[in-house]
Amino acid sequence: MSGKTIVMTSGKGGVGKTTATANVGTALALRSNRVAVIDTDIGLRNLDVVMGLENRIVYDLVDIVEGRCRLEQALIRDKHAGDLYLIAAAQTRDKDCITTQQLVGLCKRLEDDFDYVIVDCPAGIEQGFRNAIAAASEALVVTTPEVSAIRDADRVIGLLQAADIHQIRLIINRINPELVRRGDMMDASDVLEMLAVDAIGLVPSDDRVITSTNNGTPVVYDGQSASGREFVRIAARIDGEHLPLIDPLDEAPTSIMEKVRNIMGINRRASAHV
Amino acid sequence: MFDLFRNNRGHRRGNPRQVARERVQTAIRRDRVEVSAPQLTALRDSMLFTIREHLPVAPEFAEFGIQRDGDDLFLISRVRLHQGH
Repeated sequence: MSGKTIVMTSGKGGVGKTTATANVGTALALRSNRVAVIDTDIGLRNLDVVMGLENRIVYDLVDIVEGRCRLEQALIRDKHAGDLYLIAAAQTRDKDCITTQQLVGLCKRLEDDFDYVIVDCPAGIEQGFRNAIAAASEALVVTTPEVSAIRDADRVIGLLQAADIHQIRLIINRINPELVRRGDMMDASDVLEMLAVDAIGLVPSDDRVITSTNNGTPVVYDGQSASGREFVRIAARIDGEHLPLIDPLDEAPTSIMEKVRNIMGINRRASAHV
Repeated sequence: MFDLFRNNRGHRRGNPRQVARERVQTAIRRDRVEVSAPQLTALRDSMLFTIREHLPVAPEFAEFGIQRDGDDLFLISRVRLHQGH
């Protein structure tokens, strides 16, 4: 098997990289792929809690590269999603404790055994970022429709291109249809025009992400969640399916009756897209 | 020409979406120039510093641009003075 390493990055922190990694990884595994997700945010790990695997960590990324365990010992299997595995970041070290070559070597080994290796990149553009992008042939840049996130995404896209990663696609996260309709938020077309890269997903703002994160269950398991459904579609697009992009404005309820139906869980449009 | 290094913090027109769009476009444009031409950026900064040492420049308005004339390249600035000067 020769898998593909994809880095999930953003530049700015707090835009949803880790949530996107957990959900895209889970959705890819639910499509019968073998998937390894790696948290490279050494010192500030969180992918384990978002995936609900925090109590099962024995060995971490640094243990592997420093030879304290075998690769197989640090792979934590998510029992709910078939062949989904997590390599957690070390929490008590810093980002300089692994080298670019070590992470590249690890990803190459994983590519022999997995269809997808997804690297959750730390915020910023320092050593942690340089390590995380080094092994990737593709990048998914996560941004939100906010000034600071878009500006940082543009900077990161420039750095990815300088690092010879030319397969760069954008996940625009937390699009709030009501704010866009009122003229208070940029829409997907604004962001895409400024960043000049293709989008792979337009994820609506969704309270269910918060509850799913609190429960340690990725939101892709929640069929009623609009963001969960979009993460499922993103995974399908990564997997080669040609699904059209769905603007959250087209999916969001516009009438009071539709909002009531959503609250009661009778979402006609939602079920049509699953 | 004068929009290359625009740094306008004055009143902006339009709804929040339009304002956000304009601001991020300006920031991105400026970042791209700073990354691709750091020496030009340093020259721009020292030029503005020198102007401000000698003239009462309104802080919300300072634009820079490049003009080419054959083999000569000119870094041009346009600033607005405080009212009354």
